Amino acid sequence: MLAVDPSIRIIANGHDAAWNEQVVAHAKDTVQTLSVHTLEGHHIPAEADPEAVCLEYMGFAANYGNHLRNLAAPMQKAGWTPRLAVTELSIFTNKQNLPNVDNLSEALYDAGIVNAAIRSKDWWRSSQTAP
Amino acid sequence: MEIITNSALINHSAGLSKQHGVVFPHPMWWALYLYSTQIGVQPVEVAIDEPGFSCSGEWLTRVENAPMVDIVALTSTDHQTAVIFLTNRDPRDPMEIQLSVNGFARQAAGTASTLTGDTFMEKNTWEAPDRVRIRSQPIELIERELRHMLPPPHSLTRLVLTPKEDR
Repeated sequence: MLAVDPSIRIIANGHDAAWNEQVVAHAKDTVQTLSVHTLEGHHIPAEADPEAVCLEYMGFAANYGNHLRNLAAPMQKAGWTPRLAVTELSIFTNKQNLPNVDNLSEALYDAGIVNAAIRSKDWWRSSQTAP
Repeated sequence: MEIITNSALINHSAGLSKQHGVVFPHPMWWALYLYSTQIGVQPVEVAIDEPGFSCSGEWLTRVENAPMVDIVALTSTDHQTAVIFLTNRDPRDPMEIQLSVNGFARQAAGTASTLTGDTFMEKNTWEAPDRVRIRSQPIELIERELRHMLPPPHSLTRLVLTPKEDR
């Protein structure tokens, strides 16, 4: 692809900091950005208190800037301009009696994530669809 | 933030669903609407003095004293518009806020657009597609201050202000 169009920018599959370190070590000549999939909560039991779960998500969003810095650290360590692309994002309890992707909790959670992105300025990208 | 793809428009990711031939927005679609239709591009410093909350981290992340009201502020490229986002994360109570805006007009006017519902579990359905929606009201910045704002519990509010006079 690059041979045909050198302007293509490549996002490699990212994961945790250890994985990202390996990608950075092996792909630094072709990759500009690492992806982040933020799908947290599948393990939360259905009998959990919904309000406590909601606050856990609000807390996770409040800490998201630190989470991104941790994931981007291998890029910075290698001298890259750190760039992350959040290509999957939602509350992921998959339980209708708990905060979920289709209720108001998700809107507040996403707002916290976007706010973290605003604070991080230019090294964060999103593939979430905008209206 | 750069939006680089536009995928999964229906049923996940974009916050739209289609049931019985009716397309309706989930609350998160409205949240993205509030962010993607604002013109602020330059983040500005925010100093806050407010209550915090903590989480045990039993299911996700342990957090100590995170701001109960999450705030970011931006200005437009011409610095003639200020945009402020406030998320009241409190699941039960409204939060009275006094906002001081420095480095902008002394007097300004605009709109507060608030996304909320009866509870944080509220959702839209094909039968009630606007149960969770944006409600707007005029706001006024007087002598750089916006007093007695009361974001409801579990709400996202966008404030957009433009000057009423030269700085």
